[in-house]
Amino acid sequence: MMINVPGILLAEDNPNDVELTIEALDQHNLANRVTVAHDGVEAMEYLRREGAFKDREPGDPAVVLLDIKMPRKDGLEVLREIRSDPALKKVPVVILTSSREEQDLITSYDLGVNAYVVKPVNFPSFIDAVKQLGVFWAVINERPPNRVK
Amino acid sequence: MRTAEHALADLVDLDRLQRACDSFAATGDIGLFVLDPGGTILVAAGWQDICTQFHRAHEDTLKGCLESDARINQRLVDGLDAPEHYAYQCANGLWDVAFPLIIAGEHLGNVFTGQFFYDDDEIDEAAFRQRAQRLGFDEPAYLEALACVPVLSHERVARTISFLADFVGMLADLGLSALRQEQEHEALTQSEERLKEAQRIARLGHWELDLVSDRLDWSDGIFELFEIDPSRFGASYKAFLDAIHPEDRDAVDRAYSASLENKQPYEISHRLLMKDGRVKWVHEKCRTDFDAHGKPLRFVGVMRDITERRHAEEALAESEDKFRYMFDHSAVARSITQPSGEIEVNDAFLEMVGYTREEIGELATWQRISHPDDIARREGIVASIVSGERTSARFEQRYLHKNGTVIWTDVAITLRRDADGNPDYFMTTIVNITERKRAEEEVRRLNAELEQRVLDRTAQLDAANKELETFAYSVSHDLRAPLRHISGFSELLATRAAASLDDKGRHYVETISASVRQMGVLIDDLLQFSRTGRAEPRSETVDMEQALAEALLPLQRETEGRAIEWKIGRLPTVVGDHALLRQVWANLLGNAVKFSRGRAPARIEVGAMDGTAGAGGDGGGPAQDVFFVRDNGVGFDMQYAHKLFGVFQRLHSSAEFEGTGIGLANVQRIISRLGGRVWAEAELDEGAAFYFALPRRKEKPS
Repeated sequence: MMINVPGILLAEDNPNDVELTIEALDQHNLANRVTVAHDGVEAMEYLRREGAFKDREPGDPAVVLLDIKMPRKDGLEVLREIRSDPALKKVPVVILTSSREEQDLITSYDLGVNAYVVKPVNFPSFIDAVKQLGVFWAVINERPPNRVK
Repeated sequence: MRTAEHALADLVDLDRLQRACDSFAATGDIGLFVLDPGGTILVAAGWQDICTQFHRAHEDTLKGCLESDARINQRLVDGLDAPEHYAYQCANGLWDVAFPLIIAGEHLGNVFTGQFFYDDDEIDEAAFRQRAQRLGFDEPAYLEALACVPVLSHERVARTISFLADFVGMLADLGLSALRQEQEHEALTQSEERLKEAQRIARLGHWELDLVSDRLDWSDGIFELFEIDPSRFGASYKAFLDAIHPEDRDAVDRAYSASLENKQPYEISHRLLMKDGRVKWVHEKCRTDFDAHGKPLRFVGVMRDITERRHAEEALAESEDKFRYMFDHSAVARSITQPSGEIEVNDAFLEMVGYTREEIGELATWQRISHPDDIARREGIVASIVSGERTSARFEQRYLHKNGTVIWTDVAITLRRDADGNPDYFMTTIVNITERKRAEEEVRRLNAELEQRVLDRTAQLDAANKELETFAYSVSHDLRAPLRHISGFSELLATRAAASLDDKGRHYVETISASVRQMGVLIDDLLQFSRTGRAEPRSETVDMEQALAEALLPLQRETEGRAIEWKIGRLPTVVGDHALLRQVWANLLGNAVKFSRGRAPARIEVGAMDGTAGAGGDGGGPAQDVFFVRDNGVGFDMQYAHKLFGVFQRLHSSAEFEGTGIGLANVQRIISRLGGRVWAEAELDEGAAFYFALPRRKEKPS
């Protein structure tokens, strides 16, 4: 039973990145807690339990790993919606992106992101980064109190 | 006693008077004497010896004589109310009668009779005898002289007095007449002098030809005009004719003949030709007098030297001619405007506005040929000139060409005033500046167009930059992702297939990883470089020591375990962009660290100097600071120095030293965007020094 085990929401449109990320998390036995949203819209549907996710078990993920560049609704828009939604605003969000653009950093922190990680090109570094992220947010970090349903 | 203005001697012929008195004395026994008021004897006839030989010869009796003289004089002199005559018996007992001679109110003398006795006088002979004895006179001679004194009846004396009164009266009339004559002569002389003076001043002379006697008279003025010495040559008609300019002789002759014919006075101006060739202009006014039968009697005239006036007139005419010529033939439009509004314009003006002289005469008011929008302004200016606020003005005004087009002009207007200061006429110069205006307009239009083009172009550039930015973003994001995937999957492959991979296979996988790393750095550097070009550098005070320290920090890990001697000097603050300057330091220090890798110890020196005096080797220049990073690394051959700062230009192989060839290009781009310049000095294997100079300037107000 995983109902009470907090998951990781990975919002990532690129299947290669999805695969590599899951590979990295798998090396630390965190892969089974990952839910993938293939764009921003899906990510919001998951968080709000709408659309394809309307029947999912209630509860917020331990962390949202958010790519910026995604179809339909990008990561920064998702971040903005989360932070302006009273029901979601406390959810930890980590931007996990290829972009080193200063503007993206500024915008993300302005919107209240919890961390901003540039995906290392080098795979061992990538594995290391994702592992640390997963362990920190899913295991070490104390989650905000669960909202009352 | 009054001093007489005239002396009797000037008015009366004393010699004749003496002769008349002599004759009078000779006819009878009564003498006659004329004395001036001072007592001086002017005429004397029939002296009595008793007076001259005795009484006036002895001081005792002389007293009596003088006393009686004085008494008579006192009685007769002073005052026009003097009696016609005065009879007086002297202290010595003798009588005489005196008559005052008064001419034109002036007492000029006295006429005396000789001494006598009345026939009823008692002559005391004994007393005379006693006087002779007392005074020592020759008694017989004295008594004889006494006997010679005439003894006259009262009737005789009365007749003599009557005669002498008339005589003296006639004498006075004669003197008066002489006096008048003298006065008249004097007045005439004076008048003539005045006339001469007046003629001299007026450079005027007159002449008179008596046609009956054929006598010609010239005044001094004529002699002067003809420059003939009157003491050497007389007036002559030949001299007159000779003096007339040969070209004018016919005209003068015709004028004279015509005047004889029509008996009318005439005037003529003509020239005189002097012997030395000088020409004088004269004006003559002539008249002929005729007798009752129409026979000419007298030909008179005045001649006046008008040379100066003529010259002045000629100068004026010449000046007017010049002005007229300049006005008429000026290439610039000109006009003269009378206060009445009447306008005179020159050909250039007509050409400018396209009207003929006749046409402009019909419609010549400024209103018709002026641009309606400019009329009020012009009238304001004209009014300010008329009021004396200013004397002239210059302004731009539009005229209307006959064909309706607008003519732009530069108008200079001046008011001429007459001697009394009243407005006389306006002189206006009108320069057609339509072409200039058109050119200015064209320049303005082109400038505006150019500005618009620049704006358009800037907008295009901005758009292009935006596009580039978007592109760079895509590169950053999209290129990095596949790269990561290549790395990731090759890595996974190596792990999963580790058992089946031989050495060669492992080498391939490693090569793929190394290439991926290199490409990652390349992409990061390119993005950095493009960002540097796009963003406007800030203008802030930058603590260069701080910027340097920040750049050194990331190098510490890279240089761990290496022997590097750092020598870091004091750095001034500059005005620039802190982040960009940190980037510059990072690149230069990174290079120094990299290229001194083989040295033990490596020596890296950082410092600054005043570059104002031209430390950059370019001799003198603006105030600037020069910074440098010097190392003892591998250096480079200066012949390739020009390639040093080019993008992707490398002087070392990747096998020797890794790198993308973007670092120094970025340094140059940053420094040049901050208004400075960068250069390097090196020698192969002897190290390199990189310099950059930044101008000293004030922080731009944000």
